[in-house]
Order: sequence, then C-alpha cells, then structure tokens
Amino acid sequence: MMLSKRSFGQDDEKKFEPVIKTLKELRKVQAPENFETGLFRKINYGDVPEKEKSRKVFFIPLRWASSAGLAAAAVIILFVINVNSEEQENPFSVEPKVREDMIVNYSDEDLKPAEKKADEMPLSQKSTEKSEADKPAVESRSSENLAFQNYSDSELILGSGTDTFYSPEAIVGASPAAPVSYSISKSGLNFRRVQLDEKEKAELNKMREKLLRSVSEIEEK
Amino acid sequence: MTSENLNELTDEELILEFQKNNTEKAFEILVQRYKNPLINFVFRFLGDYEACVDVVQDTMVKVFRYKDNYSSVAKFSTWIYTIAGNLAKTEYQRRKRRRFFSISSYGEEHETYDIPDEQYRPDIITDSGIKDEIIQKALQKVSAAYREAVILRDVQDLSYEEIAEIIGVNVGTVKSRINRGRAQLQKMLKHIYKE
Repeated sequence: MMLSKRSFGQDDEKKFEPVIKTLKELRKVQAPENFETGLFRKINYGDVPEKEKSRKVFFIPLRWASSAGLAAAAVIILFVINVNSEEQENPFSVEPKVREDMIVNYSDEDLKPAEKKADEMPLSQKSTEKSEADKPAVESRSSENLAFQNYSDSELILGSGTDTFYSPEAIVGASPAAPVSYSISKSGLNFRRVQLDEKEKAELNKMREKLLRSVSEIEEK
Repeated sequence: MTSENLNELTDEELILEFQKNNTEKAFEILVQRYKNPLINFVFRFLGDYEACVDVVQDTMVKVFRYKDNYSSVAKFSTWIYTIAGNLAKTEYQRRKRRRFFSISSYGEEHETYDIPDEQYRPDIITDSGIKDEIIQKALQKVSAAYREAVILRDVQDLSYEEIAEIIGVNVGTVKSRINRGRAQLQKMLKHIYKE
C-alpha cells in the first residue's frame, strides 16, 4: 500500500517535472528596503497610517457610487416616462370646471333689499336687474350650492356711484347674449379705512384748500 | 543576551526569548529571517507587490502582538506561514470582491479557464522576465486552494507535512491539491514547454 502510494507520488513528480522546474526557477522576490520602517510604524502607530485611513474613509462612499448612480438614473427615467405618459383629456368630453372665484352667491333674502332699493337705481341698472330676474335657470344654479363666495348685503348694493361688473351667473349660465351687471359700493371693496382725529382732519382740510387755491391760480393763468 | 548570541538561536528559541523576556532584538532577527520567504510566498499567491508587502508586514505585526499565542509544540515557520497564508487569503477575497468583472465568477468555484494569450506567443518569449510574468499570470488563474499548496511546495520547498499543518488539511488532500494545481498550470503553460 505504502509502495503504491509512493510510486503514485513519484509518478506525479515526473509527470509534472517541467512545471515543478519552472516554479523552482522563478526569481525570488525580495522585501523592500523600507520594510522594517513600515513594519515598526505599524507596530507603534497602528495598522493603518492616518493618511491612508482618511483615504479609505473617503473612498468608502465611492463603492456605492455605481449603484447610487444607477438608482438615480432609474428614478429620472421613471419620472420622464411618467411625465410623458400623462393622458391628454379631451376638452369636449370633460365637464367644465366651476370657477369658484367667479361665482357670487346670493340667496332670495339677499335680493330683497335690492328690490327695495330698485327705485333708487338708475334706469340702465334697472333694466339689467330685470334681465337678471328673467333668468330662473341662473337663480336655480346659485341655490343648488355649487361653490359659492358669500357676499354680505352691504357688499351687494345696487346703487349709483358704484363700479359695475358682469354678473358671474351670466358667465356660469353661459349666456353671453345678455350680460347682467350689478354694482358694488366702495364700502364693499377692500379699502383700508383710516380714522382721523379732529386735528388731522383740520390739517387735511387746510391742505385741500391750499391745493384748490393753487389749482385755481394755475387755471386763471 | 547579546545580538551575536541571538543570531545563533533557532526560530523557536528566538520566539521563546521574545515571549519570556520581551527581547525586541529577537523579534527583529525573526523579521530578517522570514521577510523575504514570506514576501515571495505572498507575492506568488496575490500577484501584487504592494499588497504582498502590506500582508507580510501585517503578519509580522500579528507575531509581535500575539507572540504569546505561539505554542512551542509547533514549528515557528508553520505558525508564521499559517498567519501569512490566512491574511493573504483574506486579502485575495477582498480584492476579488472589488473586481467589477471576473471570469471565474461565471463558472463553478474551482472551475478555471484556459484563455489563449496572444500577447505572449512562444516565438517571442526570449526574456526570462516575460516568462516569469507569464508564469505568475498562470498561477493567478489557478484556484486559490490549489495555488497555495503548489506555491508552498514548489516555490517555498516546504514538506507535505508542513503544508498540511499550514493549510489545516491532511497530507493526502495536500498532495491532491498540489497535483491538481500543477496539472492546471501545465495546461496553461504548454506553449512554454513546447519551446
């Protein structure tokens, strides 16, 4: 048994003789001259010099750079695809959006003072009010509580010396043939009100008089 | 003990001296004795000189720090080769993980590939340096387990028993690994032998 094993080993040695010879003839690699210096630095100051340590710490995130880049690219591609795949809605098949900022809600009660003040309205305003009253469809829309912006009574004053707008109901009702106007007084607007005391009022009057005088003087000239 | 006396001591006596009396000179002599054989062994295993110097220095650091772990039952050379071999294998695995692309990763663990290298044809192999490089490249293609055994046997001239102790396997396995490694090498270096 031993003999057969030995012969097997010897056969192998012969079989691989060129390889063994080649490996034995390989040049011997020598240690560098500063081997001991590096070794004792490692022994005295730790395994890794500070410079190398910081370099290692710096390069750790770079290990993940490729995967992070891939993830970022995937996110960007997904985003681009998502943006491009946004379905274009047919504007004719979609219900029109209710423009809440253009709707003024006023109930029947809100209209009552307007009726009371109808006598005070100018003729043109009266006619517009009448045409507004002739639109029951618009009234019903407002009472259906679509989306409303509440106005107080004082904000919806139908009188002279006020600004005139197109009625929002006319816009919502989509009847451009007869635009209805209504008026809002200055009190309904969002002006800043300043309370002046007597002294300030007197000063203001003086300034006004002075201004009027100068204007009249200029006109005379 | 003087440095002349220390130089006359065997490896085992030196490490004992270092263990008992913390004689740094004994350690320095051991470094002098083993730095070149270990550099040669680790370089042939890793194929990278800078990395091999680092590994051998780390081996010496371990000997310095864990000198008390050495037991006088074993040979000092076996102990230091075991440390160096383990560190070299760790470094090899680390470098292998780092690679983006590895041919061997497509096959089984011990599978190797014979890639014809057109760069070094037998007709142009004249310089021994180039031949050395070709052999080193071929060694790198041999699987790590076989390579370690072949280097320890054919480059470092260690006995089968010592190799078995260093690697931590029985002598039969060592012989088998050496033969397989040699066979792989011979297949890869056939162009050189035809010359």
